Amino acid sequence: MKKHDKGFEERAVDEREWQAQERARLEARIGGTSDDPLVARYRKVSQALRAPLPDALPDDFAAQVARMAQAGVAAPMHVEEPDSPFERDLTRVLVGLFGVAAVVFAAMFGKAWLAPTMELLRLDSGVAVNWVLALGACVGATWLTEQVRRHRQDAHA
Amino acid sequence: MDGGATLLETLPATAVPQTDAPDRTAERAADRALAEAVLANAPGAFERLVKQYQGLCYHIIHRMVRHPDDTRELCQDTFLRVHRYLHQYRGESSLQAWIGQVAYSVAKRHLERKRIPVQDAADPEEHQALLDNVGDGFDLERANVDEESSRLLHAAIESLPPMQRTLLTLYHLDEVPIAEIAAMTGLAEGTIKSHLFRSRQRLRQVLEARMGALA
Repeated sequence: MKKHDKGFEERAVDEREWQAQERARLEARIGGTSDDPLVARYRKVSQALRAPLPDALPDDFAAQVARMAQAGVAAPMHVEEPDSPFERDLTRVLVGLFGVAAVVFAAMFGKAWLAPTMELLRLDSGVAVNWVLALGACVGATWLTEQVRRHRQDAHA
Repeated sequence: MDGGATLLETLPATAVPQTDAPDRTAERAADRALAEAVLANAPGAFERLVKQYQGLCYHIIHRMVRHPDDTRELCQDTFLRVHRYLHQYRGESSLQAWIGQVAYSVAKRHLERKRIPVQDAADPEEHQALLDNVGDGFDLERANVDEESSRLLHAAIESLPPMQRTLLTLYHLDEVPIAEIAAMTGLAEGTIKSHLFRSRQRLRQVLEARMGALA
């Protein structure tokens, strides 16, 4: 679905400068030299943007992929299908139903579960502090691991 | 509409490239014929399709992810997905837009998994600060100015966020019309125009700021 951010568009684009950019783009593509000084200021930018990228695909890339497709090799599972609006809506409905069911069950049976749970975990004693500290340590360790992972990925990218 | 169309009307008719006024009916017919040949397992048809669009796919994914090994792997994933889902292609858009959409989606998912932002925040100062850092290592006084300005610009392009880099390459290098880029990326045409405008403006400003230091 396309986004509509009219304000962003209007704030950003000056029509005369856009036309100068476009003139410079076409000059880089088909030749010619405009007398407009604003166009001249975009000339090097347009030339740089038309510079070919280094092609890192092997010469027999197409043949390789065709063989893999013929052999029925599936694309890796980690490349997920974009969710359709229907799937997204269905997920929201199911999560909502699950939440409502959880609240209803808690209201119906919560009191019966509360006392044994408190007794089992000894939450009505000083042990509760230890549980809180353990939970904090788990959250902290998870956060730290994630930060290290992200740092490594950023360095890699 | 392609933002370049207005300007093209002011150019001599002989100078207008054919790619800006394509015979869309013939193109779509050729696209459908190729897709049908692949679906019918015609010998060499899928290899022909890959050859025809591997450049576009490479440009999109390379500009998004930059890492050469990841780019190769994701290009491969893209075409395997194209092969698997080609039966869903209805010919309503060009095959180029459809394959470009798959490539963009694959690259975007890859960046999201790695938690790399696809585009910058719409904060001009933040964007400016990013580009201001480009080129600090260049010694313009001692070098050939043209060569250095070109290197500076390429470094500035590389420093742009993935989406902006990709939009600029699709529009300038692959000559894909804005409407088709919109189909590939799911962005509104006005948003693409705005990204192109701002990115080119920043590149010019970076170049002029550095080159002005010579004066």
